[in-house]
Amino acid sequence: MNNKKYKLSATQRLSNAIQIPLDMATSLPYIKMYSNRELIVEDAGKLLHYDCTCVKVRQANLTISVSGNSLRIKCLSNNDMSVTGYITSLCFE
Amino acid sequence: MFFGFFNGCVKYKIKCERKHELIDAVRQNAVVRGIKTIDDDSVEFYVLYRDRKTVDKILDNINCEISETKSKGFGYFVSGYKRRAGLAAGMLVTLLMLFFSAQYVWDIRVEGNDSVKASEIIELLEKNGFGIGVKKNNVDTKSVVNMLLVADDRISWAAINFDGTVAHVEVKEARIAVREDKKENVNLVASHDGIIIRTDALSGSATVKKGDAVIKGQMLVSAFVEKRTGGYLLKGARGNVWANTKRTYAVAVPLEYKEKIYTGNSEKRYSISFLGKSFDLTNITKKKFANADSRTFGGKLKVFEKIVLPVEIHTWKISEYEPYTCRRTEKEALAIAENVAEQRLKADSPGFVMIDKTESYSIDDFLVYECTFEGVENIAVPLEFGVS
Repeated sequence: MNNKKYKLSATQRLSNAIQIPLDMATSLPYIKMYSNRELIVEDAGKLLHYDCTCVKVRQANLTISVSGNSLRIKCLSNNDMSVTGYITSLCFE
Repeated sequence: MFFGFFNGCVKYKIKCERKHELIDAVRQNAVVRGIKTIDDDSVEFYVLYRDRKTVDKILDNINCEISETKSKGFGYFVSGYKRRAGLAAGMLVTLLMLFFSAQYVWDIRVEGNDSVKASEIIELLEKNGFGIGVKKNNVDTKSVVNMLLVADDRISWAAINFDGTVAHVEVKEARIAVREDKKENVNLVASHDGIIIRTDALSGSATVKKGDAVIKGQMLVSAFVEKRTGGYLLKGARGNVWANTKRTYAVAVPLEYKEKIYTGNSEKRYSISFLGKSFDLTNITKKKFANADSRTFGGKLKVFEKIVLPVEIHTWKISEYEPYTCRRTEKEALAIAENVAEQRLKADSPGFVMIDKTESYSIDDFLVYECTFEGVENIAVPLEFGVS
């Protein structure tokens, strides 16, 4: 098991200290899911790959990988992305 | 989905090796919906109709093959009529007209009447200032109803309700208090000269007997009955008095008459009525033909056979004819005269039983036919008198 300790960034530590939501202080993607049927990603970055089994987007140094069946990008705008279908896994690389 | 429909959307089907890059480029400037990969290098997506020009520019810059574009939705439909200001103006005018005309009465429907005709009630309402074309807000329905009740004794209750532009006039008819044949202040008098053959006095006392000669207007049955104790009692007269009568009729039938031979020349003229006001579309009163017949067609316009619009279109068909003089034979004229005489007898005395008929005629320019019908009929008719 990988027991490597991740170090929090200064902004994260500050937001933890003054107890404000993380999205107010940083530009990290905000992810919302309706069961395993729909996934909404705010501040989604570049679309890397898309087919009916896998959708990959990258934001800064984080790659979000959605796997499943009958996946479909319902809406894709400059900032947001909505994926529908039967989502089986969500991976952060 | 609805957002896309109301705004209008454009479907793109694109063949491109680097489809992800293409979508990424498009999404920077427009919202991309319904992305669907068809195969490894083909993709399908929708953008809003208003973003189509931006997307087209992006696609021009990228090396890709657009295999299909399809526009749909309300926004796309409307954009086709963007430069046709007349349509928008027409729609606006229609809406305004609809709004203003909805303030007026389009149709009047009378309900609950039985013996009183609807046309009579509508006529009375019109006399009292309530008719088609009247502004609904200006109508004082209570006073109109009161005036209707005062004007016609046969109506005991009335109400006016509005259902949109239709005015429903509900009426209740008054019950007749005393039947005609139960009236007490009635004598029976002779409707025609004759010789009495039978008197059936069901009420009252007969003043004539069999074999008496009576003249028109003579009393046959009196309303008063003599009491045993002396004096008279008002009972009212009812019954039948049968008499031998003679009825003479003279009918003149012209031997020459004019018939119309239509030349085939005709024209149509139109008039339009809106909320009770008539406008001539073509000059109806202008005479084109010396001899012409005119017939009118048309009526109120209906939508779906139910909704009556306040617009009436009348078509006047004017047909030209040439008058042509014809001559009847003596036999034809006689048949007409006989028929007319019999119809007159039927109208004067429906229950007349004919025993004998004497007829004579003379011919000049006219056939003058004289006929005397002899027969039996009930000559008793009620005549009311005042009681103080």
